[in-house]
Amino acid sequence: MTFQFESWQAFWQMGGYGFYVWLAFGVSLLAVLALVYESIWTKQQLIKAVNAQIARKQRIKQAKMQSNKQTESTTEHDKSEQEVGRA
Amino acid sequence: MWKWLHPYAKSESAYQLCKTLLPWFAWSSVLTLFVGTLWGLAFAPADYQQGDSFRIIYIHVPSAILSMGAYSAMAIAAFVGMVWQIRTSYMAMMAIAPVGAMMTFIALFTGAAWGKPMWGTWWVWDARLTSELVLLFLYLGVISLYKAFDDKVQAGKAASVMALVGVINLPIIHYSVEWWNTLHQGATISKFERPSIASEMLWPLLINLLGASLLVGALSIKRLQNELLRREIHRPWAVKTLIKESKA
Amino acid sequence: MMSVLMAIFKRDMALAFRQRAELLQPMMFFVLVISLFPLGVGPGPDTLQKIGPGVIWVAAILSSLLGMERLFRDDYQDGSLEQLMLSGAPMALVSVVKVCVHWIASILPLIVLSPLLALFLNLTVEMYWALLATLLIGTPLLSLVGAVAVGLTVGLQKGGVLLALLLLPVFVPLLIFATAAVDAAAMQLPYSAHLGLIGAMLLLALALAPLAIAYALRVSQS
Repeated sequence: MTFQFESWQAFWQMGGYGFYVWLAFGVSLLAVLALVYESIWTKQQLIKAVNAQIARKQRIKQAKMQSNKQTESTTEHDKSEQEVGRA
Repeated sequence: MWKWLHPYAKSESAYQLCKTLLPWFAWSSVLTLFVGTLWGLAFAPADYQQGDSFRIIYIHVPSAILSMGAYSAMAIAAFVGMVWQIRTSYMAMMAIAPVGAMMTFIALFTGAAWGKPMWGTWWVWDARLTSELVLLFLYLGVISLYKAFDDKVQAGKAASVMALVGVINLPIIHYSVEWWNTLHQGATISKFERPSIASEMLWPLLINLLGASLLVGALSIKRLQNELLRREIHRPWAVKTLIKESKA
Repeated sequence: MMSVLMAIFKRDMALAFRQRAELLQPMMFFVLVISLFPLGVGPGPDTLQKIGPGVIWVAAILSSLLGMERLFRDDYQDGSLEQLMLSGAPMALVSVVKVCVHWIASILPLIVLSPLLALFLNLTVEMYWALLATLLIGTPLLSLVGAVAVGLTVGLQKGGVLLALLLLPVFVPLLIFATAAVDAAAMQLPYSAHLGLIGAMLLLALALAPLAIAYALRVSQS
């Protein structure tokens, strides 16, 4: 088990085949990293989606409470309905 | 005998199992791939015939083996899902598919990059490269069939049929391509014999093979987790886990 | 049960031959694609003879794909497929009947046209007999395996390109063996082994494909 190259220079050159060897290893690494990144990104999107889902539920709840309050004072009935619609 | 497996058909327990397994797979794959690649690149002796370009073998062969292995794993998951009607199994199948496609791409690309200095061209219709190409098409077919359906339960079933058709066909394709290749042996291409590999070359190869298997495992587990969460995003357990993990 | 299958056969035949325009289109496509090749690669008789078998087979696969979509589409859209499933008829056998009708209606005409194409591409008589044999054994295989994918994609709006994507890689062995048989015939070599291999694949498909088609149709219908 010895280091097979005389110098770092020689290691990078790979006996003249440096371009092909490093291209193969580099692209493989990139492909793996891309898939890893995509998997992690999907998870982040899911977290965002669930947060949006919760926020939406809360907005609906609030709008409902508000509309209940406002229907008691019947003056702004139309406006509250619009709000529910928007939520 | 297989009763202990049954709880894992439920998505929540499958998720928990994935969660405990993932770090082990991920870190061991990083470790083994690092050791194997470093050993292969710097410490394994160069091939007497092909020189240092031979070092591409340390990713080409593991990825080629794993591309076939992942396809069989996918087909097994499809079969299990179809016979026992397990939704999680379909999800596992679709979690493995892109990982296998990536492995096939790596096998193809490294094959081309190895072929350029050895054969003088990036692409030859060599038997192994050709069947890898067909394998990539089979993967893409399964994935795009799955994506074409809106109803993901239906999509899983349809994709599993295609995966099984592919797995029955794969040996036929493999041998037919090999036979076709010997039939049309080009005059200009001198076929390189596989070097009978010395043990100091074999060790890093085996380590990388193990590392690549662990990598396929880790990525598939991660994607299965995502798939479980995505499909059940309206269920309380999924919401709870996602909130917990967004805070952490 | 035979009478049910016979009835389906007769009905489908009548339907298929009523839509003559749709039957003619794949045939025209077949002839057109093949007549493009001499224009593309030059009219040299030797070149044409060399690429001929491959060209005819590739064109046959492509044009059979064109007509394939029709296999279950109309039955699916007007609901008669659902009726058939509910009627309790064995779907595996029904699908074999439907594949048979499809083969007779849209692939047999291609085979009838093949002598003309053999002339176009300057094939010898031996090559033509080999080509005819491979077409006769090979195209039922195309229809059977194709029907599985058609069954899967019948419910989708844009099934056409997807169908080609799914099926073309699966047809690779057939293409290889069929063209090799014709090449062998061109060199005056025996080609029964190639035909035997295609026949073996056909038998395998005949055993497994009907079950897969029935399952695929159930998936699509749900």
